[in-house]
Amino acid sequence: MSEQKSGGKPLLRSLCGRKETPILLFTLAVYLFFCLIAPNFRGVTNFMIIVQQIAINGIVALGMTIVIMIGGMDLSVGAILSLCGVCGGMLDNAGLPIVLTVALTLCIGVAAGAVNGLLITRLDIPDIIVTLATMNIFRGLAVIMTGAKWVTDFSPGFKALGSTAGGFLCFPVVVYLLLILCFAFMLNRMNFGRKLYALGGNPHAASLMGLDCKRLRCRVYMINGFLLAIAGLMFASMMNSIQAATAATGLQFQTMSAALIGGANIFGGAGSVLGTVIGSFLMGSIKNGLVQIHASEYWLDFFTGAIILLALIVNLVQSARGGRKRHGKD
Amino acid sequence: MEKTKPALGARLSGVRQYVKLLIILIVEVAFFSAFAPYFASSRNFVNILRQASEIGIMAIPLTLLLVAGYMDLSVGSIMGLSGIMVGMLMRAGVSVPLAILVGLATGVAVGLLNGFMIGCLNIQGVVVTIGSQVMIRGLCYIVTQGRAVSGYPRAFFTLNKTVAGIPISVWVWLTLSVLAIVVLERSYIGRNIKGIGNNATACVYSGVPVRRYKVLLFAFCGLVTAVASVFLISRISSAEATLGSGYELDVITAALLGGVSIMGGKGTVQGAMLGIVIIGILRNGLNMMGMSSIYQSIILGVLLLIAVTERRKKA
Repeated sequence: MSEQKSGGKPLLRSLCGRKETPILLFTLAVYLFFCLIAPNFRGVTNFMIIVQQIAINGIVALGMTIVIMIGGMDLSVGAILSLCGVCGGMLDNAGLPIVLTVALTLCIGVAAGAVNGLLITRLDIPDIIVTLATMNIFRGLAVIMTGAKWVTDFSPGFKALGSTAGGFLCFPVVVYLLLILCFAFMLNRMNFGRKLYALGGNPHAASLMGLDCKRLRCRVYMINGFLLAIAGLMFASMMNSIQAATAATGLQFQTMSAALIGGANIFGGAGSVLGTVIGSFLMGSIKNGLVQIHASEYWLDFFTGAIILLALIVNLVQSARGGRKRHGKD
Repeated sequence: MEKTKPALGARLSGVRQYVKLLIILIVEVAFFSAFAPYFASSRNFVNILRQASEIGIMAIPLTLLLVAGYMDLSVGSIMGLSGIMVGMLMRAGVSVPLAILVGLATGVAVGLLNGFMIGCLNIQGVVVTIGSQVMIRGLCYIVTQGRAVSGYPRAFFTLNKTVAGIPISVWVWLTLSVLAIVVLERSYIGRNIKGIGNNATACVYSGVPVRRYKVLLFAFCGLVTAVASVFLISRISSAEATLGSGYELDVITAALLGGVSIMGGKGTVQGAMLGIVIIGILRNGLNMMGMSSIYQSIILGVLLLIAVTERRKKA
């Protein structure tokens, strides 16, 4: 938990030392590659579009980062997002004022997260099993509530939540950027964030140190639920409709790979906001770039998967170097 | 038996872990027999087994992987790709055995790719297999161009036949699970697999070729998944790009239900197979009662939580 960075280091050297550098370079390479071969990919406008496209997944990936950081795993993110989106949409359809709709939906998200957290900590079941079960349960609830119908016909206020008008200043992007700042501050500067690293790095030591691990773990899942509610509202609003059964299926894998590409470790204790943002951006640019070069949609999945694997290998470079360094010290 | 028997208590607790699963199973069967029309017939039971056999076959290597502390999330995609390969080759006029061989080789190739990245490059298994899941699924779409592959030669459907009243796929499933049980419980291979799941570092130091085990386990997983895939396409007589998607979660759910630990080191093939049968009967029975698949997945989720909680309390 010690601060490794001394302030006086030259920029270049501190860049080389950072864990995120290889993946940042890789992302830049992919970005430049698409810039070279696709004229439409270049320019600020498309960059902005990519940022808008990744905002929702990026927000979910932030939550996934802290969940993975404490050694957990959340397979139910897609289901909670769908549940929150559906609830928000239905509340809006019922004629509630927008502020109340948002507040209630956020409560629902936090509650869903709390269900996960309580099951994990109070009944002492592994995270992946609980969220595998709640994935089915929450998704089922969402479908039952809507009667398997589309939820649509939103009020103008609700539509504004996901509106992309205004470029960088559109609501989803602003919220995404704010959340990035909050999370970076929380993880690096706040007591709570440092506790999360401790919990993930060595839960036993953390509890000996006097941390209330169960409560921390539960809170992380509640924060995650909160983010999912935000993402769910934006999802419904951006698509202008939401279908409970199909909304955001596979989201858990997309966001997990964003976090893991960004240097998180599935066994906990590692991960950073910057890395996850880079990971989200990498996946977003690949998707956007492939569309811009008119790749057949059948090639989309293939390239996405191949680049995930490539990114993992790129990450190896850094960990190999870290290993050598440790070796040298010994 | 020269071997010292474990204490009575230990042996009993070994049995006890299945008691609840068996109770769940009996309650299920009794409930559906009473309330679901046409459930309690030998024809339906054969049907349940036939439907469960593909997932059951896939669950065997996955259980071994889980016990060794790894996970393969790409099995659904492997199933899709090898099934599509078999289907397309047969439609192109390649003889049935050769097509099946190529399909199995495809599975092994993907398994080796996973195994190489996880075993030799030491990347986290979950992440690698998420990557290959997406990539292989993409290949499925590329190869088929989104169209369903059907129209197989008649000879292929002999795989659907029954021997002694039980479908061939079920026989293969039973044989493979007995083999896997023997290997896991009674051989040094099984001992090493459990060892790797408990403490891989210690295994390296005691001379177990951990890397080779990893690579071979993933390759084996690819191979067996391809076998399951062949049976699946012969049953539904068509292969499309979405073939087998989502199966990985079904298989993992069954294994967890059957008491396999996600952390590695603990679990048995027989437990996982019980999990498969429980889920198979549940789905079939609820279908017979005309319950939609959404309620089914909710019930499945609750069942998973119940099964895991109780076991934890006892431990």
